[in-house]
Amino acid sequence: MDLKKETTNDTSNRSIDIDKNTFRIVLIGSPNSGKTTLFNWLTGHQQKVVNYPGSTIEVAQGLVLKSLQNYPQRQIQIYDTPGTYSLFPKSPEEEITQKTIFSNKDHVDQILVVLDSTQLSRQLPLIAQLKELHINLVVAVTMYDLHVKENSQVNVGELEKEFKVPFLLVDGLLGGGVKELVQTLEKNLSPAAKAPILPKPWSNERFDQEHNKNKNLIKKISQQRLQVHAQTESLDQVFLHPILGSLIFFIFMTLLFSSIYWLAAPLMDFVDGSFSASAEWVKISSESLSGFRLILSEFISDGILVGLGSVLVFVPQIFILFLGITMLEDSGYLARAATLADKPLSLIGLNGKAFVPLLSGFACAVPAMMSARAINSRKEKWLAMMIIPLMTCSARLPVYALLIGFLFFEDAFMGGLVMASLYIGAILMAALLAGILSRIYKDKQTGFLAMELPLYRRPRLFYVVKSSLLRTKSYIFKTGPVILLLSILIWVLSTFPNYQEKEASLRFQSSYMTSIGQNLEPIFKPMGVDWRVGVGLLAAFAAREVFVASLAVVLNVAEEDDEESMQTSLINNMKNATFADGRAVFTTASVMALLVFFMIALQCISTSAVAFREMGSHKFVWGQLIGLNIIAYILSVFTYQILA
Amino acid sequence: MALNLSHVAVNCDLEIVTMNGDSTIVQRLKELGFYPSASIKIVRRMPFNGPSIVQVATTTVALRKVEADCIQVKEK
Repeated sequence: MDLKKETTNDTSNRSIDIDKNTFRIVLIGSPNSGKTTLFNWLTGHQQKVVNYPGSTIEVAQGLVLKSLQNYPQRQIQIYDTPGTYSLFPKSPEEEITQKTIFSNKDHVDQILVVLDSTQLSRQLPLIAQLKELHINLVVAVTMYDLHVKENSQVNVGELEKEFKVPFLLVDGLLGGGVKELVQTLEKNLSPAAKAPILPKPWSNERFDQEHNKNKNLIKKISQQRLQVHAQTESLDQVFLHPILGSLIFFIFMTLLFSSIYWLAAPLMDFVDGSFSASAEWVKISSESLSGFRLILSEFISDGILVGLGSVLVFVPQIFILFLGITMLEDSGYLARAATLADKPLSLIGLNGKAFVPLLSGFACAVPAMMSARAINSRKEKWLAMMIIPLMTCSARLPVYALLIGFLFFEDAFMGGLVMASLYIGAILMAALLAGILSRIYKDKQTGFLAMELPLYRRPRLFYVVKSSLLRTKSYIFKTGPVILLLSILIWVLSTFPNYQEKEASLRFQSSYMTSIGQNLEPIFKPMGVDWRVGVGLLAAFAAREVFVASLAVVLNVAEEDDEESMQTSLINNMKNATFADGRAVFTTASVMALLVFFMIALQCISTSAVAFREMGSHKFVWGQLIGLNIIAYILSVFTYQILA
Repeated sequence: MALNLSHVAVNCDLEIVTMNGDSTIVQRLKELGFYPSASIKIVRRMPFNGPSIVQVATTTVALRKVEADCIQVKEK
């Protein structure tokens, strides 16, 4: 047993394990340096995402595989951090990395620095900075396979001589050198004596000094340009070409979004069908029940199962979109897309780096807002977060499908045209809003692009799938509970107080939901609709797709066997719905107004919840909620009044 | 004679002379590998005053005009 007993007096205000058998290592390195690949090699599948102690920020944590260790009785915890260029953060994401090292509660025993072997000269100052902390340091030099392929050498011996820390070559592709790396880590492990102190930011002169010192060193390790650099350059001739590049960009985006439909649709139908079937099963099995047990079974089928179904039905779509985005990211293309998007985005006060969060918003605003952490400046992040909900997310699609189906039943061309205009309209609205807000929001802090364009490479399937699963999981677990709770609430309001009534439509007519809707009808009248639609709009605040189900209940649509005939009978009931004076509720004007409303309104409690977590400000969340919804209401009323 | 990086020709082999401007930007540039006496080359300029694609050592970076303005260069 190799226990280390700590008896020294600790002058810092941290606690130190008396029996030291658990060690903490933090992975530090530039973005695109192969850090996460190495993390995966070291921890295998034993990983989880944990909340960084004392905050809501999440970091990946794993245990080093016992099979790699010489002393398997030791637990070596490894933390993966967001890529950083130095110890001095310039974005919320980089602050996470800094916090991981300098936290007061959990001390770090060793730092594993990941250096990209094709970018050594640039990254050496990071090693010098880390050495100043007096924490055990081990350096892994990755992307070594690229050198091997071209018979190029990387002379780590010289680096070891200069920096006096171990430098090990690692092959991220096949895992070569990982075992030796772990053994070196173990040899150098000893518990941290005290907390590292955050150093003063380096001055420009210090940086220059460091770079000059390294110049001669670099000559000895022979950093010449490899074939891969030339290959990337030639690809960039195409991808960054002003005309060809932009064309390719639009083609990629179109492929990405259309894949949602023809790839995700069958899966979505499956999920939807399964939930309807199980709800139906519950109903049938409980036909003979009465009183409380009947209500309970309805609670399960109409409250819980419907709620769960409305969350899970989007999983295929969201997963596929993230699969596409992550693949583009891993191949290196997204940095080029962000470069192409930078000028247009900067016109509305944003940054090319906002491109990925905005793109993700087309799947779901929840993970999109979380990825806005990569944006450097406060103002640019604020603007991006403000307009992400305007990106046409998956949940809007069932509503659009229903309303467009009502207007252009069977006319696929017109339907497609209107759908495309809704997407574009939302983007234009977002651009307008950002443009206006960026003139009002004054902030001296400068945003910057200064973005590295990594080498192109074949995307790693394992990493792409894993990352997409993680983001999809965050959609499920962050929006799921909220949507479920609100679906149940809506069911309660629609069923009580007259829950004894067996006839569903009569029970609904005397429910709380109906009285609320009828009381609020004056608000909905200017939009051209009555309280029944109003009830649907209110319910949609839980999740937009609830609008369709709610409308079905309100308009007495019976449960049918398949989706298509349900939608047809819903549309028929919509056509027949009238006001007290006989006027139709659903006209071209009022449906257009509804489309405009859904295009802009922020109807997603989960989005507001995540916005609060990411921005930390009540003012932001309420401002966004009220602002977007007022704009949506005004434009919707305007649309109706003009068209009617 | 030192020229501003925003004003030099594409594909010319250059050397950085000085760097000055917004401190956050300059520091990020240094972290990316830009420093006096480093070799630098403009690979392309995006249209409509968009970013410039710049090569410094083995790193390729996209720089906005305001960032490129921080770098003064001379011909090698």
